[in-house]
Amino acid sequence: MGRAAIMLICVLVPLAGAFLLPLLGRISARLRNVVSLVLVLVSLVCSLLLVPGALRGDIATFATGNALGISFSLRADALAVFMAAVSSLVGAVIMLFSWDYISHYPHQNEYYLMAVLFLGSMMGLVFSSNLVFLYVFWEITGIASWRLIGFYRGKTDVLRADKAFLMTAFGALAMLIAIIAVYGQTGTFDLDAMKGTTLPWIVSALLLLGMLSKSATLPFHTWLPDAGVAPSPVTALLHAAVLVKIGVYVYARLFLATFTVGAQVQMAVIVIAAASALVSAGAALVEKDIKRIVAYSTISQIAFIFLGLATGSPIGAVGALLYILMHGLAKAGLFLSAGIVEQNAHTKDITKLGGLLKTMPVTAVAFLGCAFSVMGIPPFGGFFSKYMVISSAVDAGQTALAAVYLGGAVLTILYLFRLFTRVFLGEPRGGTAAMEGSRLMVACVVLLAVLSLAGGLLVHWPAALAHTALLQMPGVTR
Amino acid sequence: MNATLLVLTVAIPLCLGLLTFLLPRRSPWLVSVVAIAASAAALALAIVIFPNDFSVSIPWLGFGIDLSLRLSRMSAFILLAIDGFSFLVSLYSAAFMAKVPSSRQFHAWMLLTVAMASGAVLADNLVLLLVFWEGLLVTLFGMIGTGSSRPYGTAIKAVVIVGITDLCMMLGVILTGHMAGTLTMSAIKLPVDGVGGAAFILLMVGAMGKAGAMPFHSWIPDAALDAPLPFMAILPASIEKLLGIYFLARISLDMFTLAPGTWVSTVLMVVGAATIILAVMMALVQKDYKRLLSYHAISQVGYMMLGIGTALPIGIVGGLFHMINHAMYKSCLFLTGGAVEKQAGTTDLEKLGGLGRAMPVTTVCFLVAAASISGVPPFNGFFSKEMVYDAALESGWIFYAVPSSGRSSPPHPS
Repeated sequence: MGRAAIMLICVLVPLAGAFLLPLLGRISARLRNVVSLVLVLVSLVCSLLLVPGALRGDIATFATGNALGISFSLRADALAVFMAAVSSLVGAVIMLFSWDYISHYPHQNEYYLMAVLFLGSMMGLVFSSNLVFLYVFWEITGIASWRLIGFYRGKTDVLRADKAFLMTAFGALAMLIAIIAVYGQTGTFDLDAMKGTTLPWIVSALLLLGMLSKSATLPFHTWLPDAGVAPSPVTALLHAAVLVKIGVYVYARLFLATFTVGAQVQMAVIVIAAASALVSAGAALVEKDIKRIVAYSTISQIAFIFLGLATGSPIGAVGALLYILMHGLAKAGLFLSAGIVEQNAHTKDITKLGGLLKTMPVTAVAFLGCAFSVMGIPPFGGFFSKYMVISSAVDAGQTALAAVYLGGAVLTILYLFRLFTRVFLGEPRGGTAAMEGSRLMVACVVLLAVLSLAGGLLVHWPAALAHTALLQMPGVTR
Repeated sequence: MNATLLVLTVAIPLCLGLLTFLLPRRSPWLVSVVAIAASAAALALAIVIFPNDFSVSIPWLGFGIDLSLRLSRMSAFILLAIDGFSFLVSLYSAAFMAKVPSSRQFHAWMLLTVAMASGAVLADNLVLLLVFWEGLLVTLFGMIGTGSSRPYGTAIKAVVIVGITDLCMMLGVILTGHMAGTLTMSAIKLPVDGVGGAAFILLMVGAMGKAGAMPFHSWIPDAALDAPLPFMAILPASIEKLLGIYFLARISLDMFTLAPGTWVSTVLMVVGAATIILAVMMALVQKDYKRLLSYHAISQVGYMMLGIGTALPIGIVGGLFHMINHAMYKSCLFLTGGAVEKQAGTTDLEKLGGLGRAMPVTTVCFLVAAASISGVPPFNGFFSKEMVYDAALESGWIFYAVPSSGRSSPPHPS
């Protein structure tokens, strides 16, 4: 089987299979659950099968007929394969977790449809080498996230879902204008054909608007903490596997691997991200809701990824890609542990929680492992990515900004330990002591913690793939 | 062969430490046997490779980040000390922790600590050093966490304080690598001025945080109460001091050129002198045996920093000599503390007294160690302190006067 075929399977199987799930759900809930996991696993296996070729630097392509310059064209270079493998890996663990978590809520058929569609369109977005299809998949993820955030159908849930959709769709609209402008300049939608084009700053700024709103970076970040009303697997998908990673991925795809952008745009991104890192870390330090704390932490960590990408140096780009992987694993673990706590203690308010270490020891240890990774403590994976990203800031001559980002890292240590202390230590508050979650759910969280650790011990494997991706990025200054 | 031996010094405690986590909970003797065997093997290996000059380097992550280990004269010495102390402490804790339910975790974390510390001493690449160095945060958390009554607050305090200094050190490493163009420690030679000075100070903060010098000391007295006692003897009293001062010596003698009379040298001496006098004052008012000893441990770091800070040969030798002496007698004092706690059931000084007759051997050991820490000849503490004083006097009378007044406060005999 050719690599192009594997790539097609990777994208089309979850996209098409997602629509089968509500039908299967009518027959048997168990069958539907298993099939939904299988669909995501197909993506995972396919993207892993693409890794050896990507490591050699091969690029697989696929394209259909050309109508109005818009062809459905896919391209598997190292960057795309890396991102696809990360998203489907984290996505698969989250799907497995959903089996038990979602099992006692209504609208399960829709949940599985939307979740798999979400991951499938992520695969499509990652492999797309045509700006129009990239935009189409971008919007599909927006629609899927809108339904998923409003899963509980309460009034606030629906309002929050609308907010998330409107904010990201507004950014996408700005991006659409930019895409048209790019077509006007280059006469093509094909990313490969426009490689090396220098964009005017206004077009870069419009594209950036889309990325920043999707990645929930200051000042477009407010929808992400609000999206915490969604079920935990959904927030984990939004934060770790798919939605907020789209913005940073498209930044790497367009601004590093395709276009060359001006130094002032890069500088602007570094400064905006620095503010984002500090402000959201500060917010995480005072919030009282577990999920909002972890959500602000995501905003803060995404800023580090933007820093690595925006410095445009090799070590920054590799560090940012590793950051996407390490943050995805650890943040999914944090959200899923928060989900276990929420479901068993029936509250998300940390002032009403406490002493869960005694009753939920395994979840507590897994939470701590993931937290260590987000803090950047070796041998957990987060250390390496954080080191590289901050190193790239110093290499770019921004020592003062590197210190600002380190301030953000210090705040990370503080707010995560604050969260751990309030939830797991001290005396149980609020009467009934929560028990450990179901075996499957706890196993998923432990798996993510172990993967965070393995990501650090075996960091040279993902790093090798990131190095290959680097060679295919003309936007990186060497 | 060289490479294998070097890697084994880290791998043996690492693998056996992980194995210890998996041993059955119901057979504490098996845990003790594995722990003692592992630390004995590490010690034997450290002795075997001591006279050699090995180095190994494997490409790893690119950007100059290599897996490179190097056994130099100094690191061989520190490695031997780490393995020696950890062997003795694991013998002690095999008996001391025998009845404690968390003894398995304690031994496992201790082996992992030894692995991380050996790696940090052998690392010849700054990033690899940072990996082992910050990896000690995890084992620090784990070791304090094995304490009996709700030790996690203290563990978090320790990790936050040391973690912040480690982040400063990370920036220092990045700056150093950026200026030197390499991350290989043995190839770096930088002047201490401008950005170089900033990098030096940041690295120094990392070393101070590890060694527990002021103002990064406040978790140690807390840990003295909450953590298991052998923890105090192995980490704050010996391994962390060894590592912190080792790294301070590396950066001031090897990677940077520290000259007497420069502002960096003054900063080091001021911090050292302040640590000596302030920590000793704190020790005087303590009512608990273990808290008292931990303040003493903090004050002794001051001598080492003062000695190295003078940048004079005699001061540097004195500082390093004091480092090893301190590890010896402070471990001994903490372990006598454990014996007192075990026999008397408390370490509150107001409730203790007259133990000299009941515990003669412990008392004699305590007196020897206390005499040594107070700098009474002919014990080792006298010589190392004398060397530090000589160098301090040469650098300015104030650096002589302040620590000398700190010297006149030996620990209370119980």
